[in-house]
Amino acid sequence: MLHPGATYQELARLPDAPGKWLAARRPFLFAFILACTVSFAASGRLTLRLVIPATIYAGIEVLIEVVALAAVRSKTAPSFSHSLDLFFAGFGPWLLWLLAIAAVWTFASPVSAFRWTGPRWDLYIIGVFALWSGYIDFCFFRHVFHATPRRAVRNLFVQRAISWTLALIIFGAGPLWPEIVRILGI
Amino acid sequence: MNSTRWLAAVLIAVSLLAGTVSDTVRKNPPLMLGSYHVLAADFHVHPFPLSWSTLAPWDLVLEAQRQHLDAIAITGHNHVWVGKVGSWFSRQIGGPTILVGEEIVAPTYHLLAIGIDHTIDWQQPAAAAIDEVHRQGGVAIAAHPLFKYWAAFDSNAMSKLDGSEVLHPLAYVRPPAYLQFQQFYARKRLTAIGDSDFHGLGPVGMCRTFVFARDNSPSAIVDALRAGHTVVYDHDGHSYGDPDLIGLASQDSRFAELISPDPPPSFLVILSRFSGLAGLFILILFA
Repeated sequence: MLHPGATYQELARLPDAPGKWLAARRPFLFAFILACTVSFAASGRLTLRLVIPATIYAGIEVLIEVVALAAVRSKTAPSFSHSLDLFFAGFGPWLLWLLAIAAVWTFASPVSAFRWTGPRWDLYIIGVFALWSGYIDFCFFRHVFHATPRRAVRNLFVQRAISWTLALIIFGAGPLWPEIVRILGI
Repeated sequence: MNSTRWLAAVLIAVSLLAGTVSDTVRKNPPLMLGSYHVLAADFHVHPFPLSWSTLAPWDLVLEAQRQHLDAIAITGHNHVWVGKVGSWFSRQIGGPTILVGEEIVAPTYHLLAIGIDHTIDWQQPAAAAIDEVHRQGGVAIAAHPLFKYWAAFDSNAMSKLDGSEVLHPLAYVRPPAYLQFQQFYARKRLTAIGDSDFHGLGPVGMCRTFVFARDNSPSAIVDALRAGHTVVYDHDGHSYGDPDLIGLASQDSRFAELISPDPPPSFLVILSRFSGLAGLFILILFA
């Protein structure tokens, strides 16, 4: 997480070993941890009642990421399953953020948790994690997809544009258009 | 699998086991005050998908049961179909009363439409949206009426509005926001509403409304809201709503139990918390 450039250079040298388990293990881990956060945040504990369905819903987010990665995959990239494994290995900042959210909502009172994760803090903190995650993915495109710096930046923006747009639609399409109208004043 | 991963897996498994075993439903004993059924309700609960929430309608129904709520309104952002799914599911399992609703999110106002049947166009003034809510037999409640939304509620809209959220989680986080909710509520005689505006974070029903209804059917609850038969309490004990009902409630010790804070978490819940977070921490950082 702290030295993504060196780490991805090293990982890219590992032999390419395509396989379904390799393709699924880190995406599943991400979906599972996202689901655990949902369970902790809503009920203050890990319960199968919430973890199982939330893992399925989180699978939608995983699929979105997979589609967005497929859209920018280059000919010089390793097998798709290996690419997926290495791409999701870069999700560390988001996993840490989820863990922090889970911890706050589990141990703090709801009022304190709202105070600490309120609208403004949310935006600042997500901004920091988005930048950190963006840098990691830039290193992924540079060293795993063997892209030039310019190409890596382009991949990053296209991947983000696809994944964030789809996520916005699926998770929050309801108020999207009125919010755009409000922000643009049209 | 290396030993660190095993440790993480065992801790998470223990957490899941303890959390699932302790995950029981707490139902309020039926409470009658005068000729009214007293119901604990939350009329602002967002579902997944499309409304920035993490729980699907069936999860919301189960979570509302666990939070000993008698009724919730599932309010999608600018749509009602998810609320209908939740209502159907709750009927199948004998769950809490689910009111179909939506939060009409317009550029200049947010309005809860409770007890409606189909989606209401957000591209109209608040007064026209309220008319449409009433045409469908529902009630219109101003959602978190911060100062920035006040202009949309002109005298025409205010004359038609049924209620307003005088208590909302923002009230505890931003004192100026609470003041604005109180000032809006004082603009005319409005039904007092306390809602959690649930998006997946924190408990459903963190802020709740006590409805005094003739029974627990959706139509009886909507009638009670229309008649202003509600009581809301904040954490400091301030009350809002019908003064007669506040008086009636204050004389009954069973009502005091209904609004008393939850008991401290059990050993199993604490075990689930520590074990689960430790397992995830190890999994993310070391495994």
